[in-house]
Amino acid sequence: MADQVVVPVGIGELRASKDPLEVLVAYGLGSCIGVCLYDPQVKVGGLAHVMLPSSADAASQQPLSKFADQAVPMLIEEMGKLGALPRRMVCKMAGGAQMLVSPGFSGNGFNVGERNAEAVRAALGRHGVALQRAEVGGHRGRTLSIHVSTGRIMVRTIGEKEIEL
Amino acid sequence: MIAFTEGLRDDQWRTLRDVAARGATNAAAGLSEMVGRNIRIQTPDLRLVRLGEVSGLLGRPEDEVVGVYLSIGGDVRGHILLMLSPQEALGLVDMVLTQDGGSTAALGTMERSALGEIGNLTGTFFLNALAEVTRMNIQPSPPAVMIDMGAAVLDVPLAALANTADEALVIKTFFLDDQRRIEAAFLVMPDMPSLQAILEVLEKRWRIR
Repeated sequence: MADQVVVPVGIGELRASKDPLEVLVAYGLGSCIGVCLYDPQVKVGGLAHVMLPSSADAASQQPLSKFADQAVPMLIEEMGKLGALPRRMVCKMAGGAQMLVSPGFSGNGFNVGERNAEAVRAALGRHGVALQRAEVGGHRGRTLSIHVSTGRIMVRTIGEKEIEL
Repeated sequence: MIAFTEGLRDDQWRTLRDVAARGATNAAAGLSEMVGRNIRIQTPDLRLVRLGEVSGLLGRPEDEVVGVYLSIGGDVRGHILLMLSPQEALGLVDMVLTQDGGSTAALGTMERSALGEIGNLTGTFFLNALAEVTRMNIQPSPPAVMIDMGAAVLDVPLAALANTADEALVIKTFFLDDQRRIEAAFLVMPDMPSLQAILEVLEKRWRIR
């Protein structure tokens, strides 16, 4: 029995895979959102580690994949190269926490997690991909992983049992 | 949009190292007063790295850390983060509350508050030194204490920095207590426009260099 290959998807990155041995992982999602897409018919999976909601407002456009509005279509395209189709894809996402909980911090700049979640939903809608589950918000960091062979998506937080999304 | 894709010149690195050392030394002096011990600093490490590489400088992304965060405002914008293991945090709280090592067993409200104070003091003292040498207006926010996965804590400064650049100057140092290094990484990350501004000011003021 071959071992699984854990492939970390770092902050601002995305990755598509058809390799049944691979498990794509986004570690320690705070305000960032891990967006998992899966086409069960061809068993193609993808994970995007999104940092910011929109490329429109930002002075820095590198890398484009750090923006929700760019990462979603970019990931769909990468998965498309491996035979996946948007209409067959399902999405599950996790993250978007508000890590700073302090009287000194409030207002627009500091709810980036919530804005990321909204931006991902909007991008999915624009590209015709159904959102099946969202484990977002709160104040805890999360690790999100997708097993390419099965499409199983797992979420864990410190001190809690790993759950399937 | 500023991009230090060519890297910084040698003289710019020297300038930044000098400023970082002054800031860190001041932070250690403040901490020494707070804990009543002679706290020194390890020579600060300075790197210009892509945002995706910051986490790799600091231990495993899922490891639980205590992060004390302050944002920097005024003429300089950026982030300060004191990152330490929960174990180290317990020891540091003991030191601050002048208790025997091993007294603090958990990080409750009072302990978090003490950690916030440590972050606030070291951060403020660092920024005071920076403000003095640059004559810029530099203000820290009140501290926020987070206890969670290291990567999640880092999202706070990294997501903010990502708006203006894909890279960050990471100034990292550790505090030394007698023979022992306190495993608390003290990180200062100005945003790229602020880094540019600091360099311009210091190049004018220290024209001899």
